[in-house]
Amino acid sequence: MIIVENIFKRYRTPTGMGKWVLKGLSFKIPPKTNVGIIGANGAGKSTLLSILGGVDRPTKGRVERNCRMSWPMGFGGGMQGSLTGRQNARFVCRLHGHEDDIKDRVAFIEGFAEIGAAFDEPVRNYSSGMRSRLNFAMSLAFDFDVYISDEVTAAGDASMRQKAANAFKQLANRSGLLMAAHSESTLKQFCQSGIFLHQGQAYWFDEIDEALKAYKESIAK
Amino acid sequence: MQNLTSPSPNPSQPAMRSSWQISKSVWYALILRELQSLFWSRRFGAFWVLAEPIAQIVIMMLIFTYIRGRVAPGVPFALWLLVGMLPFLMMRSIIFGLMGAVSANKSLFTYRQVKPFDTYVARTAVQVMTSVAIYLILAFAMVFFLGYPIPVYEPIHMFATLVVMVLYAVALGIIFSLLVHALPESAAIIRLMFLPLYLLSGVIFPLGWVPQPYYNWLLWNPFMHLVDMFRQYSLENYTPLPGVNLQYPAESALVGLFIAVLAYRRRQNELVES
Repeated sequence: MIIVENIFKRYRTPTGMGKWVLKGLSFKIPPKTNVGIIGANGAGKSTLLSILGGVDRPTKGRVERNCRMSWPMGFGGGMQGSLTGRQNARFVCRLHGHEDDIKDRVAFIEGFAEIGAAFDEPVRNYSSGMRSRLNFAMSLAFDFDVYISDEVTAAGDASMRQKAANAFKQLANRSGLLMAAHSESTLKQFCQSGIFLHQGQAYWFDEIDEALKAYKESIAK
Repeated sequence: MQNLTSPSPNPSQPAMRSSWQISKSVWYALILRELQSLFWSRRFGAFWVLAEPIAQIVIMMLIFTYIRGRVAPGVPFALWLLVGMLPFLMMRSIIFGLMGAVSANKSLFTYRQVKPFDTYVARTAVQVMTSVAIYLILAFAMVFFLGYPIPVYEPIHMFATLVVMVLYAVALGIIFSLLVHALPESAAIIRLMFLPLYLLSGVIFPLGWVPQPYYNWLLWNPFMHLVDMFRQYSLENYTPLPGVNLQYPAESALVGLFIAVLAYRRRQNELVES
């Protein structure tokens, strides 16, 4: 269960405080729910995800999360270019307190990412698709209650997306997913419910189709 | 069918770790990562990490003992140089390391367990470890192969001085890291500042000849106190500089840490953003 109470967010810019990105959001995300976050570029999707994921703090307001959440899987974030995929994977295992079963976890990551020999090459040589495969595999290696995906699953190719969708179906009975994406098919494939971000406000929809409809209507205007 | 879920979906696993457990595993992971990137960023990285500062110190020793024929008050000049130069270099690398810690680890703040302060801890630990290793290697070589006296006179006091050095360097490092984050141009000035500081701290030239009132001005520099106190505690027959003590740098370190932690508290959100 994630409870968001009246959060506001603005960033400090070189010329003083920026404009409000989020203006008083309140909603509850029930456990084991797959939620798609929809909105135009700059609507605050990534900001909301990083606040929900605990990376960033809201300027005002409160987020309560009584669950284990993954980090926001974004493009290549959280990996050091000079280290290999394996070294990065081991780092993330240690970070999450899995020093004792690090072998199994790394083996799982290697198997799921399916990037072959590149797993032992520096991450800086990876393509963006390979990075997102690795990032996605790393987060699946831990038992999170909620997975946060910042458009990352959309970066993979067809086989990766199929694999990811299957993984989330298997996880559906114990985990939820928060996902920001633009592709309608991706959102429909992964999510049941939707949050539509528009002009600093959030609108909750139980059905993702309705959220997409509201998004399209806002563009049409 | 391939297993698509994580290796051990174990619902009975404790849901939350304590803050202390999280910090411990984060520090451990970051320290290993720092070492890995030191060792892997170039060929024979592990060798160069130790060899580079050792070469720097040895070259200085050769220049000043053989070419310039310098002497230090009461002790072999090479040893005098070692026990002054290494602590100063350690403090400098801690300070420069912390200064760059936030920008170098930016991508890691994606993991909410990792905060800028953790990267300070990890970088400091790595610097202290490598400096101690270099000290042991050089001291061992000089004592056993060249017959110098052992540069350990009052080990407990040496350790206390080392602690004050680390605290003082960490305080300055955090303050500079916040300054550089707010004002990136200041990094160059801070780096430049360390060249005169090197001389003013008596690292390569003894400061006993400086006349009054200038000598008293030099005493405002905590680095000078730290360098000389470390010499007093490691070399038996060393003649200490007048007016030098451990209390002044210790107080400076505490005041500095107070300011550093306060400023960090105020700025921690901005450090993680963007």
